[in-house]
Amino acid sequence: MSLSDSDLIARVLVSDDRHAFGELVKRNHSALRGFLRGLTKGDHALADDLAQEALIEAYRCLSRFEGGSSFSTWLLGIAYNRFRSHQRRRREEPIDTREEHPSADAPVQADHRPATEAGVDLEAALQSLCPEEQAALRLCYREGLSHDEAAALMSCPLGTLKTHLLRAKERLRTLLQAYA
Amino acid sequence: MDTEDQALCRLMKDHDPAHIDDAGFTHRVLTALPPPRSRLATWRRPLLLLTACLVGMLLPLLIDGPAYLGALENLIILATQQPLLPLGEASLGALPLACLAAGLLLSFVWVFRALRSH
Repeated sequence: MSLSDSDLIARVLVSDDRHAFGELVKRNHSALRGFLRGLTKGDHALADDLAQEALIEAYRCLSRFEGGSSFSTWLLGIAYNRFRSHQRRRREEPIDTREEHPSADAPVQADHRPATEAGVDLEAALQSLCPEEQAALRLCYREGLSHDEAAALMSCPLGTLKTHLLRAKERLRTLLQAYA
Repeated sequence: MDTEDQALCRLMKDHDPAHIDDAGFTHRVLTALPPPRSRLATWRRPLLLLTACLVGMLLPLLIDGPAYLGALENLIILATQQPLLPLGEASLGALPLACLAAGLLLSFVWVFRALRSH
């Protein structure tokens, strides 16, 4: 019988059970790494590094997990904040080697392609959005979080989140028009 | 949620990205975790402080018990019978007691936190 996430968390907290934490990693790494690969525009190595940092932070702060959302959602919040810290660090670097943010009509490429054409289009379109818009869409529409929850997780005001969502939907509408 | 939102929600849920293989990722995370904290490490700090407080209290008693008790008695008399003691003397007399009280309080807080973490 497999244990629930909360049982595994309890084991980690009570007896520092690393196998239990390993099980939590196994269950959540795919969604976490997929989310970060989207935000990093397909930079797998960076996404995996950030995912690892997020998981280590989650391990350190596990006692602060209150169970208000699912463990996977909580992890996505940590990962998003890690990604933002990484972005800030990069902005502070003297030589900026960032790629330009692709515009809505620029060709987009998906790196981990879902099975269907619609999925390919959607993933490609999502990757062309800016990280804030992408995270807002994923949290609200894929994870099913309310606007309040997503705003709290992204540490931004509710109004800002709604703006991200509006802009993201606007851009997706343009990008997915061909498929429709 | 309007129809466009519902459609987007369905689209995003239906077309989740493909599963990413573990390929050693879990092992990589587990090896990067901080080393396990021993129970002894958790208790070391409160125990050291508590011991220091107790030794601080008992040592003068062992060295010269009657004189120490006499001094304490004088301090209590001064504190109760001369409430308008000059500030310098009063704070000098209160300092060791305040340190002891703070040390004990801190020890109990750490013991409480150590108990909660286990």
